[in-house]
Amino acid sequence: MNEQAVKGAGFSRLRSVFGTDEFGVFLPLVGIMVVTTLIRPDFLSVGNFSAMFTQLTFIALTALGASFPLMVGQVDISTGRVAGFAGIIMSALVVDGGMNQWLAILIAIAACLVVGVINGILVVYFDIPDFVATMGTLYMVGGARYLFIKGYQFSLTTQEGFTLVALFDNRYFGMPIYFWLMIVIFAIVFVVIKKTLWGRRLLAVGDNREVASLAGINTNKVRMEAYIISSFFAAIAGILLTLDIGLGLPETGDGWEFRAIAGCVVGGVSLAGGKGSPLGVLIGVTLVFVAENAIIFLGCPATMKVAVQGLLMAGAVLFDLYRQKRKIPA
Amino acid sequence: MNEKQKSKKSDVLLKVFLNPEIGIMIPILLVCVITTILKPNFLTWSYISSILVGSVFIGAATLGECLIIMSGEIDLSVGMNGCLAGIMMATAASEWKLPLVPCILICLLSGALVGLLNGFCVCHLGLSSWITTLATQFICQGLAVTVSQGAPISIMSLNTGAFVRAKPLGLSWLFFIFIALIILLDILIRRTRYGFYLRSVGGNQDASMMAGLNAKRIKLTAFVLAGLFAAVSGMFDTLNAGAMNAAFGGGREFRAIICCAVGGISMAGGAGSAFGVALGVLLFHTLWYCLRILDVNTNLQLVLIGLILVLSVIMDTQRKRLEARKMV
Amino acid sequence: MERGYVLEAIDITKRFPGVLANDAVCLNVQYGEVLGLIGENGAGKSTLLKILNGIYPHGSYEGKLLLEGREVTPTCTMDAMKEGVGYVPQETNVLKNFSVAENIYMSDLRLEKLHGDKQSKTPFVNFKEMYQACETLLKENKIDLNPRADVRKLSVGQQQMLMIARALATKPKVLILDEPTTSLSSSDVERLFEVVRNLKENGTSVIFVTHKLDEILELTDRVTILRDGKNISTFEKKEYDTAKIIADMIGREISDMYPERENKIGEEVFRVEDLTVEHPYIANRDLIHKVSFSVRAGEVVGLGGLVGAGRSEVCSAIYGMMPVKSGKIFLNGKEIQIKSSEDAVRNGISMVSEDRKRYGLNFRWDIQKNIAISNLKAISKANFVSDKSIADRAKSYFDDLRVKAPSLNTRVATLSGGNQQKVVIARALNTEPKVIILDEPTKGIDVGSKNEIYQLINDLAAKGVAIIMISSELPELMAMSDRFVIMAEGHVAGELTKEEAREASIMHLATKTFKNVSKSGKEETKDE
Repeated sequence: MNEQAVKGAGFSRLRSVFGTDEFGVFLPLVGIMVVTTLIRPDFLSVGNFSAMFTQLTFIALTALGASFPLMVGQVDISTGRVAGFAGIIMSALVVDGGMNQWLAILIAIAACLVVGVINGILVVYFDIPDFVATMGTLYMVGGARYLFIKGYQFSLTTQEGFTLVALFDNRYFGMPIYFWLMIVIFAIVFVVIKKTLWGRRLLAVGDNREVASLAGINTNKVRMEAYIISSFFAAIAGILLTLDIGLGLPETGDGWEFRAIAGCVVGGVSLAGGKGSPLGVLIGVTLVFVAENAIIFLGCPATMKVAVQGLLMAGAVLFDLYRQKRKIPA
Repeated sequence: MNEKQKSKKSDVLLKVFLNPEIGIMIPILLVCVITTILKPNFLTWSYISSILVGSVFIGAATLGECLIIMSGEIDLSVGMNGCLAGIMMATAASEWKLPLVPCILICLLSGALVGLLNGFCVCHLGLSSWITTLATQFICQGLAVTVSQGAPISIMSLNTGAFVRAKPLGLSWLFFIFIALIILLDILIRRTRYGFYLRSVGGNQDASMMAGLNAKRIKLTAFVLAGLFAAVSGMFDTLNAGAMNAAFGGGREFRAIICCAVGGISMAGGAGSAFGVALGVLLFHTLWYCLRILDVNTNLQLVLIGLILVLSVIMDTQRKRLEARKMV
Repeated sequence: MERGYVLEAIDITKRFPGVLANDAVCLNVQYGEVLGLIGENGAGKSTLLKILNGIYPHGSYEGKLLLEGREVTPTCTMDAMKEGVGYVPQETNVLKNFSVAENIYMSDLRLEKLHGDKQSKTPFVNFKEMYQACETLLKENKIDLNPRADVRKLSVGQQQMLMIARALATKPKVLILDEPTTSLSSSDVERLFEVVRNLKENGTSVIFVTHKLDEILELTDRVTILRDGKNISTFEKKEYDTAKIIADMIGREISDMYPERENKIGEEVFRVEDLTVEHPYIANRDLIHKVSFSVRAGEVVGLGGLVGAGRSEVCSAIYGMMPVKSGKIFLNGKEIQIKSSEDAVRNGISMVSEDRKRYGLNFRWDIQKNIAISNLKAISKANFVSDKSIADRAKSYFDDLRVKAPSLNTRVATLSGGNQQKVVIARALNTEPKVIILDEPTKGIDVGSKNEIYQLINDLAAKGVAIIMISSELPELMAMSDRFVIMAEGHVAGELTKEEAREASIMHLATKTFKNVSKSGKEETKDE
């Protein structure tokens, strides 16, 4: 009797793992990897994967940021340019202004937070369609990146007192430091979303704004915060990439916004709001990268990479729509 | 008496503000005047004609985009859709050795098919338009790069060089085709049954359905038309350059949306005119061109473009609020 | 007997522009009782509830609210909640992506109520404690739910229970249930009643709002009847008398505002047979079940019943705005297929919706375009439409309906409600319909316009148009209809001729309860 109950509890725990949204994304990821490995065993090499995950770090962080507006039922397409913006400001301050590296990073992040605030104000208080509003800031920030640069790029490697670049060349447990930093950030955000009052309230606003405000949540404030956080993580991603390559390039981050959104959507963040988890986003971004990588291994032209992104995104949205429309039992 | 005159004056001002077509002429003139002051030789035909001729590429895509925005949706695929259509046209010419007319038909067909796919997903599957068209944008881009293998494809075999280089009235044939398209679109929007249906659906979809309109079909048609216009813009690129490259048309959807917003197409749908859009294109292109000949940093230009977008949309929302207040 | 009142609302008066929604209404609830609140559509129930619940803030109405004898002045729902008023709205509103426990404690994630309002500053949610608290709460109130369950997988009845539990988590002194049984099956209703009885035993008072007499008789200790924004009467359980309650719900005099009609009723024009529509988001449930009726030329058929009985849905389905699961539609004896509103209009059916904002007009347009849009085919030459033909076409309807506006170019948004409604009707008439469906054609418009619309309905009937009319105002429905089809819970509860129809007989049918429809289509009806 007792034993059975224990068994039952174990089974239900197993089921609760299988039933999660993250698991739904995990399955196709494993599927693609298995199929590709069966056809091309060298797909599953350490070199291939470490290269893939190194590239993935920056998009994953941008996607993590982009998932916040999506979770409250909005969209932010300025994230990619914001990432580039942060990188350029930091390099400009260090190279041209001779500023302390840490201070430069702080100022760069602060500048990006301002962009987030502008996005929030436009969407929440001016009631401009989110897509159009963030497209406006996409252009403004995208152009502003170039205004700081006099030549073509800032070289950080030759900069005195800039020790961070060297740090980024090192590898720990086979991966660069920023990869581990990303993992830590995801873990923290995971806890914040799943376990804290703030995270639960954020999702509640996306799920049903009316219920949330009846429960005493200041929904406008939460929506603002989502945009600010979106810019924050984009800034982190941009700064990390800049430190990694040791160059302040203005075009850093171009096109990241849509790969980030694709990753979010594939990772089970509902466009209707209210659903999403950092783990899902990480798996989603990984899935996008693995799928792109896999089709190259399978002999498709590399140029089809973007098309695969599009197909994955459409598929994920359709799946989400199907879930949303499913009827409740009588 | 004085009071009355004053209120009349403010009424006129209000009318100007509420009428997007007139409202947009002012910044165009302003930009031109400033440029002329800073660079007196701006007011020469060579500058003006190149502004006009240069605006057709974004212009054609914008015409399609404005139909979609008028119906209350958004289309992010117009740029890459046009690019793919151009690539298909060039491929038909160089690989399949087809003559001009079939090449153009293939180009238009390609654009219409992508539009149909967009329309099907939005109208019948119920996906949101921005994510759908974003996905098709990616798909088109991937296909375009794959088909062209990343290299420009020449359309030398079509012998269109003379046609493109010809300068009727100091402009180009492409420009006149574009003007013809604007007039056609204007007739479509303002004079035909479909135009009324489209604006009705954009203004209030539920009410239109109540009036017996088939909103799904109307929107689907808009997406197909937008695909066609996108294809035309790709065709313009191909003809103009004598070759097509998968790098053309990137980001054009954004510029098209901005032109629409500037040209008084309400982002909420249901309002706007083809001439407004044409003026929006003209303003956008004039500004861009003037900034360039004034040697304004190209990147400051981007900032200004974003600013214009945000301002024109804020103006649109304020316009609507004002209208609502006037009505009570 | 003298148990004292937990909640008293004294002389509540709430005005809306042109309408007196509550006119010195008093309501009191004793400790540990279930008070029924009943009244027709528009009797002022929902206004009163919104005042009790803080949606209409203190100051926007006249009168006093006393809680346990102390005056309270709630300015938002949170205030009302803190004062001890729990509210369960009629429509399901839950967080779909959350667990049951989180839904219940979303307003109090730190569980401060549980800890006696001890201010804690932890940023973390203590899920373990929350699940425990939730389990205790659910067990105490005999609600059968799993705190960890995924809300998306809950049935309608369970979601209703969840909303009740959510209100109970705030430890209310009074719990308001606003028509909780509307979408419940009979077994779910039974379960709900048990929960309510249990609450009563534990000393929580309940205000139970409903349309259904059965439920009042079975569950409540006292019933208060509202009509036209006023208190009509209150009965103790021992005084319950169905006839008396119904009489008090309706008892209005038919004024002479309804013009005489001279119509000749002709042949049958329109008929629906066994029309069934699936529920849009509940599986295995019919929203409308096997509805059949017919309309003859020149006849006005009144589709009666209470709000939520499925009247509007029947019309939407006929008009192609809602997918039909099964059933046939006949026009002049020939079966027709309607898949969209376009099909309906092509077949000569037209409709005026009750929701003028959403389904009514294109508010960016002027009068003439709004009228003409429904039938551009009639005025277009080779697909082209001229402004002049639009103006000409619209002019005749504009004049016929006596729309009061400066000109045809006036924007519809500047018109009054009554004139907007005339434009909507003009648009429907512009399709030259043989059958016209009018869903609440006089809702929210002034008396003068109402009268004109009645005259218009008579004119249409005289011309031989078959008319289906929905109205929640019983006197209006009775005066205007030649025949009545009364609906309840998605079924046709009965048909009445003009001679048979009395307010009481209509109300009897409209408050009928249908046992849950099983999948096989077998059903039992139960007369009260």
